[in-house]
Amino acid sequence: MITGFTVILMGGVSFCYSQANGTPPPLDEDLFLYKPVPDILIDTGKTKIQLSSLWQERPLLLAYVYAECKGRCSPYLLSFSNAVNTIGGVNRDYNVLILSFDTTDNISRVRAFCRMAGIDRNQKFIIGTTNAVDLKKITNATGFWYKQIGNSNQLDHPVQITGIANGQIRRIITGDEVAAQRLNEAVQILSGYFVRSYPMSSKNILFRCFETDPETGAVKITAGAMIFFVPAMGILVIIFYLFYFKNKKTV
Amino acid sequence: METKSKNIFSSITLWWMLTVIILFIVLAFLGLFMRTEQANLLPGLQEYFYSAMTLHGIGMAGIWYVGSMAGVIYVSAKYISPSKKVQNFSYITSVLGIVVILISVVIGKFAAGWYFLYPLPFKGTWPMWSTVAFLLGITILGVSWLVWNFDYLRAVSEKYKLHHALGWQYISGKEEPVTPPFITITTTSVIACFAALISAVILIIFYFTEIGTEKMNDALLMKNLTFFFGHLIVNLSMYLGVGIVYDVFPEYTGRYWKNNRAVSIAWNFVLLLVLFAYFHHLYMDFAQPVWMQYAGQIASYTSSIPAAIMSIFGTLAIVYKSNIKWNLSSSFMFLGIMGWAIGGIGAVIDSTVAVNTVFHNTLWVPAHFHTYMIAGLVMIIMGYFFHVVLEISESNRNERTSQIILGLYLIGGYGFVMAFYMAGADSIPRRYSSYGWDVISKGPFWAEMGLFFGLLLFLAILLYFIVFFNKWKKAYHTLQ
Ligand code: HEM
Ligand SMILES: [Cu+2]
Repeated sequence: MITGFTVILMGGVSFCYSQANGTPPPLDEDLFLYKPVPDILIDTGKTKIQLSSLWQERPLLLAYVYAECKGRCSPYLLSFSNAVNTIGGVNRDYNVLILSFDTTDNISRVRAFCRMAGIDRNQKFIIGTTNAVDLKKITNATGFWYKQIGNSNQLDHPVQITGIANGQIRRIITGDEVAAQRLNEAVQILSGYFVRSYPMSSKNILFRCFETDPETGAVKITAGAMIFFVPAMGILVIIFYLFYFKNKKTV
Repeated sequence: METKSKNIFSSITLWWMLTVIILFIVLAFLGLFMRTEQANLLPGLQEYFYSAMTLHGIGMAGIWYVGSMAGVIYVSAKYISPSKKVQNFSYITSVLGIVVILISVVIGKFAAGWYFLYPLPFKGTWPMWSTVAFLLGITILGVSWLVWNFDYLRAVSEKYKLHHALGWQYISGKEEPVTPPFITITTTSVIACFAALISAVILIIFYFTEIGTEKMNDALLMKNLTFFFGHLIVNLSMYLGVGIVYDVFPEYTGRYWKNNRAVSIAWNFVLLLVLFAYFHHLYMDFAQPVWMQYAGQIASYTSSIPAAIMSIFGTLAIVYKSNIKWNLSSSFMFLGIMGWAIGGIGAVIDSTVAVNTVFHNTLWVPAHFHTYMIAGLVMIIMGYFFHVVLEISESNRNERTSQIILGLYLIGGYGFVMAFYMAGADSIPRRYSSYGWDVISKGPFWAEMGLFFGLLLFLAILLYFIVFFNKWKKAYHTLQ
């Protein structure tokens, strides 16, 4: 069960990746939730497996990398693998699939890259590649994209972990830093537990009555809560007007 | 009798009554349609479920509010003078509001549920114009009813000082001046209702601001405003109906129902606390401060139990060993008060935090509110409407009209809600157009049971309509 007070900052998925020109806008998780994922074929080097076999017995966390990445893939993988180590439960509560999104990658290079980025054999991550057609299907379905940078072998791409349960997307975590807390919540959601969430405040919101502190979960009343007094003030004004102003009775 | 039939609101009340009863039949039919779908007997019509649910819900909430209010106005003519113009205005604008909502739901397929919880109206499969039309319909009703309530309070204020209208003289131990309980109950209710309508107006302003600008709204704030309004309007419809019974029932028992200290205290409690009871709709909203959750539970109890106990014991006391004349009106009103108690117990159970964590959004919720509506307020108002047509048509009040209607209504009504309670206790969720998965496999069974009893209930309503309409026509001709 979920203990402690956890707050997912939904809508807060709109973090941080390089907003180079022509880069798609940050991912809107809402557009993907509960959508089915295609059943693509994955080559793990030793065998070929269907994606569905990975989410059938337990939830699946899917992360994208490519072997030649000189940029964000390796720090991100390290952060992800640390978060997984912190919460534990791979191969018991959930599976992890690291999928290459570069069709020129071969599986041994991807493995080597993962080792270099700090993932060790005991972690039981599944590492795989897929063909171009299937790659297109899965990236479209999960809102992932990549783009070649100039003529280099480098690809511009966001980083994200897609949480899949029963063949549906149930959570997408974006951002280079994978906090164990967030990952744990995702696993809880995927396992069918209720996780509390409350949207972050934003300037675009008209009035807001309560703020929750994401760290402590404490609730604060804010100025917007004054709205609550308007109906009560309204009736006081009406009563005063009718009974004491308009119809002053002496009896 | 003569003086009574000269009630200046006779004509408008006739129109109100006919409108309410006809809409009731249509909306009840939509209710049966939903239960039929949930029983898997109408595959292929699933896509209409949520529009039907929205229309059924908002329609029922609306007609029983206006039904009670129209009834209150008719009774009030004995004591105060609400404006006749305002009555016509509220009737016409209410009908207009209903038409606009009908267009939004029937043509525009708006289907966000009767209280259109934010941000659902913006997230649906229907076009934007149907959301706008729906909100427009609500705006029209809001303005219409604000004027209606304002005028009622104005009429009270012309005749009574505030503390007398609220019965404070009784609380402080005096018996003079006399305030009929009807005035105390309706004054407290209408004041609270005014607050509800202001909240609805703020809500609508926020919606239109979001439509017109780039601004967004805070979901939790919107939910607070929504339930402040939604809870109050439904709760107060009930209280207005009860106010009517306090005044009309004595005509059948031959005993006057006096105001006293306990009655006044109970209804002042309502005024003081009913504004906070709605918090019970937000128990599952963890971002709501905890003290509000406590306040919600306390206010839910205190704004309902004293008033209910006073009314139920009052009704029993006034009937006990009296020579009450049982006819369709008096038996419906009497059983309505008792049904209110039964539904009220279901409601208070669910407004208890510990229970709500289990029952929240199960069919237990429709179970309790259908109980105090079908077996409570609807019975009261149906009984009262019959009383009014008898009165205006100068028919013999002591006639015993069909026991069959009453029998069918009770078996059908209680059977129908029982199927909801059983399903709720089985954790079957509310608002499912069909029950697909294993956990809720008992859903279709309870839907079939509900449907069976619902059909009996429907038959009773149709029979009532025949009897009622007969007298209605007579009343109409009497007025010409
Ligand atoms: C006369 C027979 C009636 C039938 C057959 C009926 C049937 C139903 C059904 C099947 C639902 C959907 C339940 C769910 O799965 O959530 C429902 C909802 C509802 N009903 Fe009724 N009902 C009846 C009378 C009434 C009355 C008298 C009221 C008076 C206020 C009422 C108010 C509502 C409301 C407010 C909802 C909730 C709509 C929503 O969730 O948005 N119903 N009814
Ligand atoms: Cu409520």
